[in-house]
Amino acid sequence: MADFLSKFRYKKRVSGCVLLLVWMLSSCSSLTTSQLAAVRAYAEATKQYSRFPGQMIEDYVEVQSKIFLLGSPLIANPDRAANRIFSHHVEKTAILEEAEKMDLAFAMLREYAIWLEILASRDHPASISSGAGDMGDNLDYLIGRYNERFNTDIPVGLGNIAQRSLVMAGSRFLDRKRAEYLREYLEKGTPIIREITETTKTFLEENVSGEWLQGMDKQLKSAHTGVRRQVLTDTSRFPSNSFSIIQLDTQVDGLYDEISRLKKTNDNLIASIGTLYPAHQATLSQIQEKKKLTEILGEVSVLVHDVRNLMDLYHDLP
Amino acid sequence: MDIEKTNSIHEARAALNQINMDIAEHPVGSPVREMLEDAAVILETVIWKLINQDLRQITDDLVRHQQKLQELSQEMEDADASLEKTTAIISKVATMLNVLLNFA
Repeated sequence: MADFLSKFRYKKRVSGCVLLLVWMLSSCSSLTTSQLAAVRAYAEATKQYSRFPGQMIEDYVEVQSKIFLLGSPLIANPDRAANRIFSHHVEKTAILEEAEKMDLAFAMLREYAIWLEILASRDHPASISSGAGDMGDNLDYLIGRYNERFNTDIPVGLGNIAQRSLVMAGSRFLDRKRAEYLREYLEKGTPIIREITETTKTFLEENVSGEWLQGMDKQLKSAHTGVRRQVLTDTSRFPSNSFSIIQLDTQVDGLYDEISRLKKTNDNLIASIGTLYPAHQATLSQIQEKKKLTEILGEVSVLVHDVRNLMDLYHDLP
Repeated sequence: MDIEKTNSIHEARAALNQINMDIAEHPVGSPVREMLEDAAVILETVIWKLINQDLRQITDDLVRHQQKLQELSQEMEDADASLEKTTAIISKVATMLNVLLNFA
């Protein structure tokens, strides 16, 4: 009897230890509220950032077009003037189509960030569940269209990790599962973020800064001077053009403001794209190694700060 | 950086700036005015085309990265079968990039 009791107590102790060990392991692998908050901060900054490169290119094309149109009084030949406007329209449309294609990379980044935010949201699964459903459908729709158009057979249902995690929101076990999904998702995103950031940084520095914006204000000044000279010539034959001159100068003044904003936007885009990848890496390592919140926020807050500057420049965007 | 292309856009701008300053000095319909107007329109088109080429370039770069990822995942899988999970993830990313780059 005593032997039986001793074995019983021993088994009880062992199973207690096993339970304690399982509990400790599950606690270690689930994420704290601070860790999730840091991931959400990174996701939100990335989501916001992804809107601006495409917007900046559209704005640039618009300003460049306005400067060209400002020179319209200098083209007196009617046929040439009509052809010129037609040609401008064709070229502008081609550029915007190309920009839209480039913007797809950022659409992907945006989609990635939205899903990341959902994965890191423990407390509000209900309010975002419908949004998550839409996003999964949207990506599946894109892939479906692609398969149809290019006669390929890419499996539908890519990247639905976020949706799967929503189903599991709630208990400690499910928090651990969420942490696994989050790690996998961030690891999977690393090559995307690296490629997009490297390519975009080169483009913004070398093309936009080095070519597009370089000398844009001088071009505006020369067009303005030319038109004012033309107005002077015309005034010798016609009554005063004072009102037109006020309108012209006001328009030119506004264009200088727009050029200045484009330059600031591009500088901020370059600064933020440089901080995006380090922020991604910091976010990934913080959920792998459980770093202190202050260490994580160091990298992420630089990105947040840069993106906030961009948002200030574009405060009128929805 | 492609120095020649960068120089081209700078030179096109400089030439257009000069024409903008000169053009009004010549009477409408005069042969010189006609030539200046013609040159201005061509230069504007050249500037648009160079901008468009830059955008094509960045799109091409992203396509190149996508292809590289796809090749890497294949090479890794051939080299070590235990990397199956990693290569599958890289391949998925490349596929995703491909879908989004080509869907327009």
